[in-house]
Amino acid sequence: MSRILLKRTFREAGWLIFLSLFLGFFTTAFHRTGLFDKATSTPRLSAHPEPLLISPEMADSLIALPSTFIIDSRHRFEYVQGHIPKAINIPAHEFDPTSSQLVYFPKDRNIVIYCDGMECNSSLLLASKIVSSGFTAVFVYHSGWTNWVERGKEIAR
Amino acid sequence: MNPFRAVISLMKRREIIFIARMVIGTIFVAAAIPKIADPKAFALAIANYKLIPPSVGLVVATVMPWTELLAGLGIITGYYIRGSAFSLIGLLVIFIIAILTGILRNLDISCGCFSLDPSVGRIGWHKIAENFLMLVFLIAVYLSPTGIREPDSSVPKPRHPKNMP
Repeated sequence: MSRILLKRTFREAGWLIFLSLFLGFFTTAFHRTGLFDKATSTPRLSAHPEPLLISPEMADSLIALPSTFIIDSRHRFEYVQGHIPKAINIPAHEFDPTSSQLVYFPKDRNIVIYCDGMECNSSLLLASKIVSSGFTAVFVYHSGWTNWVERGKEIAR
Repeated sequence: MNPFRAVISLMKRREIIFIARMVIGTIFVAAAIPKIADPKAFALAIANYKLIPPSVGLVVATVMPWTELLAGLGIITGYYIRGSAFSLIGLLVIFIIAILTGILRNLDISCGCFSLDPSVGRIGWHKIAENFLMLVFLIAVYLSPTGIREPDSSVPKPRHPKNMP
């Protein structure tokens, strides 16, 4: 293989790669896709609505729907002592958007989150985490467990 | 005649080189078009191999399909054929390494070679064989003297009459 052939090869390959770089960046920038797609570069949090605080009555009607997903954000020992029927327990600090069972749910599914009552923050904290992982219908039953017990509703253990 | 030499002499035939150029060029152009059309899907296919970080993968997905397209066209038309064949050899070596590591790590992923649809099936040894075959023919194309006039360095350049002593 001659030196001239090698030189020619590298010169041509260099031009090809330069042209590919130019065309690649130019076309994706022009079509606003790939690297230049805004949806992939900005955090999803701003693209979705805030979690909505709901009244006990609205919570009742949502919880009555069979498709609603109910999350208890309190500690595990509180959950074991009693919780709203069908609710599952995801303590707010343990939530991992990539490994929780929420990964398998459609993003527009109704989710109702509750914790102890007016004084607790874990339901709000968990709700904002869930909203930022892409769910669009997240509701916080803010008066929570205290209100549920006061109204004499059904308790699951 | 030993069979290895027979294959080598067959690979040097002009018709074989011509067919290899047309077939491999068409394969690369056909493979490049869906990737250019949807760089994000291709970036996902690259990310599945878990060899490079996703942000780097997105850059690769932006640029590499164009190299495939241009080099594929170069192989077909004969324009920039050395650089094109060389680039495609480089790409094939990368593909073979990527697929090989994918198989060895037992990854259940699709190739992302021609179709970005994950349902085409899992990567396997047949992909290595396909790529290796193309690699062999591309090396033959690269080393072939097809229609290229190389300047002969053994002949001194004629001097301009003005510069004559």
